[in-house]
Amino acid sequence: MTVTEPETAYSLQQGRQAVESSRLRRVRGGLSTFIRRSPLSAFWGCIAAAILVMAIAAPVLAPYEPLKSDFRAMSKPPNERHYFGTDQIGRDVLSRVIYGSRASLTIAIGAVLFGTTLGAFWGLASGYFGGRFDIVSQRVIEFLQSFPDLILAMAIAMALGAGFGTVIVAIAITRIPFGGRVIRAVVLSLKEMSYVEAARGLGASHLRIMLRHILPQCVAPYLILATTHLGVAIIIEAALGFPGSAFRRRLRPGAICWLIP
Amino acid sequence: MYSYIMRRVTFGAVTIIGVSIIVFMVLRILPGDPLVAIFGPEGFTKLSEAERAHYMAELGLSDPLVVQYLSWVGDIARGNFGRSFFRSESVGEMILRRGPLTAEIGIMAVILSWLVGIPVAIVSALRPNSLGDNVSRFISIVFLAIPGFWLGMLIVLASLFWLGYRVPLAGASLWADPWANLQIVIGPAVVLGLGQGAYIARMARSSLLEVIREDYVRTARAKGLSRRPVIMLHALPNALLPVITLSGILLGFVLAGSIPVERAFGTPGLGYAMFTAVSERDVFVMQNLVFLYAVVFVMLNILVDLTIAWLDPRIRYR
Repeated sequence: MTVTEPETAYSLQQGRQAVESSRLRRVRGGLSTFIRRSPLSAFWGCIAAAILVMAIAAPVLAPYEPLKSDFRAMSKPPNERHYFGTDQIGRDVLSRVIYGSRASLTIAIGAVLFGTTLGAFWGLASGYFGGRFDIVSQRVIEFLQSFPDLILAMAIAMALGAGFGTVIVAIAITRIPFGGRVIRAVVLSLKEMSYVEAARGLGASHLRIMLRHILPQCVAPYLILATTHLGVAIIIEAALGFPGSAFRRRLRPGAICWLIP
Repeated sequence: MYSYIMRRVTFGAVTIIGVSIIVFMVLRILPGDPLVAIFGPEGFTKLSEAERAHYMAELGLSDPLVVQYLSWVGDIARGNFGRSFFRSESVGEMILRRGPLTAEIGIMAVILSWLVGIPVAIVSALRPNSLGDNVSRFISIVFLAIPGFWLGMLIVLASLFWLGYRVPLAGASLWADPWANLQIVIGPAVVLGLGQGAYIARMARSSLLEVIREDYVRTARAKGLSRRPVIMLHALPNALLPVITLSGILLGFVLAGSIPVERAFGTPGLGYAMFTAVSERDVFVMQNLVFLYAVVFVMLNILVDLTIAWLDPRIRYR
């Protein structure tokens, strides 16, 4: 905070600072409006952010090694040394929960990125081209949707065998139909817009129209869909890694998921 | 209506064929050797090449895939659901013995979800954004997020340690011993029903809020009807249509959710059988159970669609 001399009227540096501070103010203003308008969403948003921070900073936050067992403290209830208590072989449950958020979030984000995105591109193509390709795609998606999520994921995970990647693939396949359906519906209305027609009139190729003109409009519904399905993916992952489940034993040693004592 | 039923049932039949192909592809073509499951990884390496071929032929796994698929579908059409690798009981018998329990759990869960969800939705929709509305939405989000099996484990542990109560171990049929049967079924049904009730409450609230703003509701109020009959008799029936559709989709959640929940409660139902089949890599049992679940799911959805069409004539003439 120095008083600026009148002769150094308006340097570039100051200009940039002014822009940045105004942008910061706008972000802060937007945030405070959001908090006032929907306090409930803001509250859950903070919790989601806290979980993300917990996953990233796991080695710093965890009080103990998640895999190291302490045979002097086995099956202990919560106390001042182990806030969440310890499991049967003396591993600190709090540390395991903190590290577990890494595995859970990786699987959920991986599954959604892979599955919903694949479904979205499929929906983009099937909505854009229409015709026989669209009819066949819709039937296949319908077949995939005729399975309850968890059951399909279990069958695929069982068929593929052990592993972290397997669980991601299994959950991702169950996410494909949702991405396909939603994005196809958006594309169907978008492709009739006059700006798409204009692009076609200018001689743009199918690929260019799809990627440059239609795809950007699909981002908002995609984001909403993806965030909703993150939660679903975590629940499916938890059910697959349920105590006593076959997948838990076959997961790579050292991989810890949530809800696995 | 008749043509609508025919159309819907034909679509359902096509879907079931497609589903059978997907089940077959997932469980037969993807890697993973059933012999490893039967003999264990060590036993498998001790088998000679000829023995492996012999066992594969005996299981019918060395035929071309099309032949395997057709023989599987033929077996199912004849009502032969095959055998487990590990148990003497045939899969058909197992389904008959364990299926009723899971069906009871599903039906009770659906009834419970309506009993819980609809009143909560009405209370929230009458005063949107009030304290009661916010509290009930908060609670419903919590129940959406909680996995059923976790809640189930807590209930089992709490009743065991605090009340010293344990669910009867033996499976009991509804007709032979209704009291024991109720004790077995009630836990999973409550857990699954609460989870679904949260979805129902959210859906019914938003749909009710939409309907309440319609002209005919305002007319009913304007002609002097009091609030309660307008909501219960005029608004609610129309608001329930999307809830019925959602309930059909949620039945799939119940079917799938019952797998870990039955495991948590130790309920001897189909879900537990599925869980065991996955743990033992019992491919044939898994294949038939997954197919069964999918067929039930498809049929329930057809039933829900027909109900909706019956309740709302606009749909069947589309």
